[in-house]
Amino acid sequence: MPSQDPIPALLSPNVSGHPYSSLTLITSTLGATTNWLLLRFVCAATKDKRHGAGHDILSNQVSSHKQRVVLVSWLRDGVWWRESGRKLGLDFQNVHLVDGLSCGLGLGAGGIADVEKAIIEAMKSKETLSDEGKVILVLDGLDFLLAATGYEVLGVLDMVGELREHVYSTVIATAADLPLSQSPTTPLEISHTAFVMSLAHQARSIMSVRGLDTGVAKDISGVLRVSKGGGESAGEGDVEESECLYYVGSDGGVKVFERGA
Amino acid sequence: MSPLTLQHRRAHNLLLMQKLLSTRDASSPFTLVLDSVEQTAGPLARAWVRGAKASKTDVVFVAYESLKAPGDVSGFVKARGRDAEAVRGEIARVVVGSRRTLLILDSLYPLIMNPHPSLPLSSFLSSLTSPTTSLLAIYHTDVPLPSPSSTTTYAPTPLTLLRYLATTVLTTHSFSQTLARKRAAEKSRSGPLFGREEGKEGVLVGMGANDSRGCVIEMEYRRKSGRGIEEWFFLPELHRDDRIVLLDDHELYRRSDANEGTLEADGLGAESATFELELTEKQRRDREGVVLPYFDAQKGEGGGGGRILYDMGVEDDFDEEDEI
Repeated sequence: MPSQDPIPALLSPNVSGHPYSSLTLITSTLGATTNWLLLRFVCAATKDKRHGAGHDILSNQVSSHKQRVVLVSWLRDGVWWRESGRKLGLDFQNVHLVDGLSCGLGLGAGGIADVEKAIIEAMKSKETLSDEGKVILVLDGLDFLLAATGYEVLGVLDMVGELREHVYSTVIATAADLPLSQSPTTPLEISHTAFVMSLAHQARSIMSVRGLDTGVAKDISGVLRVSKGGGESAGEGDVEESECLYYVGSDGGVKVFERGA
Repeated sequence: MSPLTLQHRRAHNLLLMQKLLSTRDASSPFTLVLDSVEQTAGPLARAWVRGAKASKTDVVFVAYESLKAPGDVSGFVKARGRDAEAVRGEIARVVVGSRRTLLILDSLYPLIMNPHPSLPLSSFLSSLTSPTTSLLAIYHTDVPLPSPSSTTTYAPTPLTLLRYLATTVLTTHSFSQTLARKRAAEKSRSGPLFGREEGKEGVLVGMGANDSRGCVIEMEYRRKSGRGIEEWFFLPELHRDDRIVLLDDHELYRRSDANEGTLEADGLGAESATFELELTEKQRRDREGVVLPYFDAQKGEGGGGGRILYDMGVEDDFDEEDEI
């Protein structure tokens, strides 16, 4: 059942209208991926601000210009993103896709500095096309670098901080499975937890996707919890904390609804 | 808690906290703030900056993870990705020696993870403080540190060291979660768990985290004599006019225990019931007239121990196993 609007009404205040220099942390588990959510973020950023009117002062800051997105993914290749984006009617003209999976971004000898350079270059290349609008940086699977290369957590966090200074707002998706975020024991688990929790402290809002607590259901894919992060500061417009259920259809359409609805 | 001691706490502890917030008289040279994602130290830092401004103290914000300072500060030192020595040089440049200054470190994690070889954390922090400079450092309790290596196995953990060095330790708690815990404790239930303690896969932050009404602060202040003062406060969000109050004085916190009591006493529950809970005068008299079995047992033949007094009724069968 393809929905007319790719962004469900319950989701729209959370995927658009982020204030300047904000960070949104999206966490997934093995049983519940965040691809659908990231696609909605990209969608919301590239589409005109239709939800702007009801969204008070924030929409003024965001302006009605189309925003440009730099999407860096380490877990899914460019073909997959284009294919899934097309289903949502996503216009890739304003999206710069850095395919970290195919080119092995960050796995070379240059280390973490390479990653930073590549992403900044990607941001610059878009700026020349049109100097209006703002850049939104979406990093998918950044935690992969921690696991694959053994970079210091601090190095990756510093890079994130550096990149955040170059863009309007940032969205980062990482895994937060039980061993990777709660009571870690091995060095990898500890550094992953430190990474995720440090980002949570910087984030304005945290969107956690997880499987249904009671098991698998036919018409529910999982639970989405939106909470306020540590980076929320007074006067930026509050993040409404909420928890709702979602269902991702086979055609890529998403329904988001309250419990019991 | 007797009213007298509450009065005493209002007079002394609240005053102490206000003194700390305004960084007057170098009351606490090194304040350690322990926060978590459930309640970040952000509101506290903002209140601190405002208090320092009000008492004409310079504020220098040392940003390891923040992009911008909390409020209006006189100096901003970008410390991300730089080593301790360089940061110290930069701070020394910004701080004006003769003026009273408050230094705020927004995260101690980078300092702990990347210490200067010749400048351990404790000496770095103590080199920052001076008679005119006090320090407010934030430590995220939920960011785990790597397990100690073979050389540091017997050394105290950084958190232990920091707690030892600090002259004031402030721990932040979420207001709505504190209320929920108190309500549970009043009913002798085990407290609810939030965030990562929930034990649910994929949950990082609990519901009610970073309450927009304000945050709860647990203070541990060490006097020069060594005596510690502990107190809980409620710090309202800045845009509200309320001042900081004792947590016990907060309307919602106080009410939660009275609430349950009054609900039954006021007959609020009885009104909504469809049947009569009260006794009539006759029922009360009859009830007073009933002689309960233990009154019988106390008559005369005391010291008989645990005899069972039982009169068989007509409908009872004699059971051979009963030995009366």
